[in-house]
Amino acid sequence: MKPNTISIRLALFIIPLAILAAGAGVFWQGTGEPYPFETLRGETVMIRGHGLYRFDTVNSSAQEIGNDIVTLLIGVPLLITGIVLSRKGLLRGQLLLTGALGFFLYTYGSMSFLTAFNPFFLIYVALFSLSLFGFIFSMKDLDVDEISRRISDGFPRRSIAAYFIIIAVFLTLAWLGLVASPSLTWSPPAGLESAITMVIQALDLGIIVPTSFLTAYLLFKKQPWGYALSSVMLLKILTMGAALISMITVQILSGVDVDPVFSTIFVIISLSGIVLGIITLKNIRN
Amino acid sequence: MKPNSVFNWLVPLIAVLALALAGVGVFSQTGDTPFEFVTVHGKTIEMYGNGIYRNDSLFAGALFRGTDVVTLFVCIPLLLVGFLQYRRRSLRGSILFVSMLVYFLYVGVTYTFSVAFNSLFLVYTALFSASLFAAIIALTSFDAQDLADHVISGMPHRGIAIFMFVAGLGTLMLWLSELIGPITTGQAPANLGPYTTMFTHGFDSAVITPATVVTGIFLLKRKSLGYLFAAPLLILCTIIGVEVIVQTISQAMVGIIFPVGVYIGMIGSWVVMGAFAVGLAISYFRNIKESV
Repeated sequence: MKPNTISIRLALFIIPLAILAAGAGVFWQGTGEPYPFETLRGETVMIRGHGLYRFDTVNSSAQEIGNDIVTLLIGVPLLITGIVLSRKGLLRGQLLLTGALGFFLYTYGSMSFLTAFNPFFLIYVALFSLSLFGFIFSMKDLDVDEISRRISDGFPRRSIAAYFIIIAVFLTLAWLGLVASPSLTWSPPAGLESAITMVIQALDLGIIVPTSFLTAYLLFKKQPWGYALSSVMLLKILTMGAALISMITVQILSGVDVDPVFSTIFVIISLSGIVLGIITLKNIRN
Repeated sequence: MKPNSVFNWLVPLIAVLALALAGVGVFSQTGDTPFEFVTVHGKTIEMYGNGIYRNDSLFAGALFRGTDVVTLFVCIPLLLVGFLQYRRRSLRGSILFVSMLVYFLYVGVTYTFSVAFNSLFLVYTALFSASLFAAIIALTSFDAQDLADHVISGMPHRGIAIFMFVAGLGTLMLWLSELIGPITTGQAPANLGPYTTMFTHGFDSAVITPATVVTGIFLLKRKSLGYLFAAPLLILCTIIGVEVIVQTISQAMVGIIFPVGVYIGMIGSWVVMGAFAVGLAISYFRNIKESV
């Protein structure tokens, strides 16, 4: 299989920039104390007050740092592995590369539009741009027919399709639960913090939920794109799952109140995503 | 472009969502007045305070309302015209159709991520989602080689390519000039207002500029995808040129008056860009034959 050179080249730029951006988030702590701030909606939130995320709230910055740790420990190594294996012309490598680019796309799309403006803004934007175009080229070069040929019989097609439906339904219910009633009453949605709008909810409801349903449908129908999308989506969920677990951990360590039921469901979904992602990769013959 | 039945429900959905977005945007009134808000950066911002954009700044609220007028009276009709022509298998109509799907994707993304959370949040998100999938389906099912085969010799390849470079890189330079200072000093950008971050600056720099540069290069190399990408970008620039005029009027109506230099320099340059885009778009469509 021909390695997709454009996405590899773009991915090579992502590695140093991501290490820089995520490293700064984790290690640039600076000095200063959290302070209260009255938001546009009249809520009082605690602003972090120090480090790179000084203008984000204590809660959002804990999530950003949690995500940075995953970017450094899992995202970057996964991307490097994807590049190396992809250069060897391995199908698994291409899927790893595409999935990792998907993770960076989601991560730096949300960092670009949800993190309070800070000196790293243009680096987030560059990472968003590189991962967007890298992801598009990588998807374009995926040989979906070859993927469906190389999927072995042990691939748990129906379970994975069901998993995507569960993810889509859970995300829909969870996020509509947050935004539906504030849409009618003009009250501030829970989790808005000091941000202007609900970026994660829009990304999940607008992209992840429909793609999950689509993947499940294509898998049930045994369509080649079903296998390709499910590999890419599972890799993204695998990394996002790790990020969520890390975020919740940092939130708890920072003394943020975390909803136990919500968090537990997220952790279960994430862990099962990690398991299914590994099973998928194992069921692709080289 | 291969006919696809999925558009039979996606396009009406996009039209209805856009109608809700722009209709409510233009006509919603709550009778409230502008109020002041102190941002996390300690700046006092005058807020719109009225209608659906009550939690946006006066500057942005008036701007969104201006955009809504153009979306409502120009862009939704153009989407429907393009869709009908696409259904009649017209090549030019199909190009218009794809271009309008890309425009609504741009609108959907912008409103979803840059308008202060309001009652239409789920409408914005649904429009963003529907137009994203519709644009992906339309662009991937378009036979770019077939389009290239319908291009006749008058096509201004170089003119469009130069326009792409100037518009894309010019926008990038303009946005960077507003960001470099705040980034080096750690201050908030002058136009941040009550917002989390600089959405338009980020999105244009990350997506639109690379898209224009790639399109320009493709056109110079006579690659077929260049023809496919050129139309949505020319039409987007045209619509933005019109929108800047209406946005400026809308802002003047709430008392935002700029110094003369701003009207000539900033706003004038967007309008000039739009004028060039119109000319090139007309020339583009004239140089595509319906039949080989």
